[in-house]
Amino acid sequence: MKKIVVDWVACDGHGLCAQMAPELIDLDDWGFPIITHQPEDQRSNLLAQSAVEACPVLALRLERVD
Amino acid sequence: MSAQSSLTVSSTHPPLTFAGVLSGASSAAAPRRLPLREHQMVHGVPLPAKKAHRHLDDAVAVLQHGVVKGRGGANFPFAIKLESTAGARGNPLVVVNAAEGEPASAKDLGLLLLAPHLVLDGAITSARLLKCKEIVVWLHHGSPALASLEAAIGERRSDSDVTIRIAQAPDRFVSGQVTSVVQGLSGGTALPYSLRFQPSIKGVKGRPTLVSNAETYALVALTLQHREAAHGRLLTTVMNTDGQRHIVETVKGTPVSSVLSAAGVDATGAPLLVGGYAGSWITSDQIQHATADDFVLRDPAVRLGVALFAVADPQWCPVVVTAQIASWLAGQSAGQCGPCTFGLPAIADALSRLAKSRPATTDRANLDRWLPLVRGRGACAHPDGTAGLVASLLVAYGTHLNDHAAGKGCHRGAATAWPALRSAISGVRSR
Ligand code: SF4
Ligand code: SF4
Repeated sequence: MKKIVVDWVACDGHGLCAQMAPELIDLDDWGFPIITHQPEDQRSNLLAQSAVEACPVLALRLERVD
Repeated sequence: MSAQSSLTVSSTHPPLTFAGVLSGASSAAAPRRLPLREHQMVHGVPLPAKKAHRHLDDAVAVLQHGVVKGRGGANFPFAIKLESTAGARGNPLVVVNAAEGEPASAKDLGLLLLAPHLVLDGAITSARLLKCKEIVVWLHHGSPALASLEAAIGERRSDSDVTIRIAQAPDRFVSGQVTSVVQGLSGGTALPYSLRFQPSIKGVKGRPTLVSNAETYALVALTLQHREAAHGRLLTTVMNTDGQRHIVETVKGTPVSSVLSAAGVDATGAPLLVGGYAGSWITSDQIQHATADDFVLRDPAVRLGVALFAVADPQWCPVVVTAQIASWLAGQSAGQCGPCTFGLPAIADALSRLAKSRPATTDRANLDRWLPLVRGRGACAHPDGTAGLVASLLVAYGTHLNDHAAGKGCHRGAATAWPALRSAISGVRSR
């Protein structure tokens, strides 16, 4: 399985990730992502992938967890 | 602030780190830097260069047995870092992180002023174990330890198999964060970044880099040289209400009250800030149960951190002091990560309004919401430390904070001292 990791230095709070994957990502009071759920199945994995691809500054990545 | 100009040094046990420096009852004279010859009489010489790397496994075993953990605040086992660096590919580098970020902590400064050769012994031994030829000491710009360190390095001519140089860090709170050190020494700006590889694998300019705090290297030297006698040795900083700092050598597990009395500081009725500005408050009633150990109380939330014990004035309002420290910490955010850049000032501002007993209606509730929210959401531990400080106020002085929130006013004075001191410490005097 994979988990969403935020590069906090790169992220500038565009919020696109939360729009793409609202089931996994919420935004805090300042517009920065809160990972509420990590992907657990095929469907949410694809959702996470779309959030990663939506980020204009490449601040999200999927990291393998063993 | 004139009283802050010198440190005092003492010990709760027969001194080891400061053996030779604190030579018993005899000295009314100011403690001074232990020159190399005297240092060697007490601590011997480090592992010789020839075939030193063959002793890596032994050294790792001794250090593991001695539970040598990082004394920069993170408490990470040194032996693991050493092994990991040894196993990584490339030309290794040893870095001594002496850029103490905590403004009140002075233990590393005291160590470098008085016993710099212990730090160098630990670094030289580590370098030899790693077949490494180069040591860098990362020191705050303008550090009062510079002259002492330069003098000590100058005395190390016989250890010419390794070169030791000093690199100066910007005088900022986050300069001491390990990724700041790596980025700064790689030629970039000394700011934290999101770690993808441990520095031991890919550190300064991609080289396997052993980065540890100055006290940790001293502990490595002590443990390899004195074995059991070195176990649990610890340097602490005691700060009184005037901001006067006292370095106390102790052993883990010693009651905090003994550490305070060794420093000659009376903490009766006083709130105690433990672990650093990014540490935790404990109440005066809890001091008698507190020990200088990884967990200072039974509660794992109260950590030893950089081993600061700061005694507040019982007349100060803890909400006001915490608001001042939190504002300072918020200002030290490197402004790179959103939750830290925006969250910490939001927390500090809410707390400042509460401190004045003129809160916005949401301030108190927002604290509860924001503190867990900023944790773990930055490239370094800065948000966690700041949130931890404020969270400890809620635990130790929650009732009083709620009085502020209710606008009840506070009979304690607003005037305090001690935020943001990194004062010019000019030297060391005897206590
Ligand atoms: S889309 Fe990227 S930059 Fe925007 S909030 Fe999400 S992670 Fe941050
Ligand atoms: S968490 Fe804060 S201090 Fe640390 S790198 Fe990010 S912005 Fe800077």
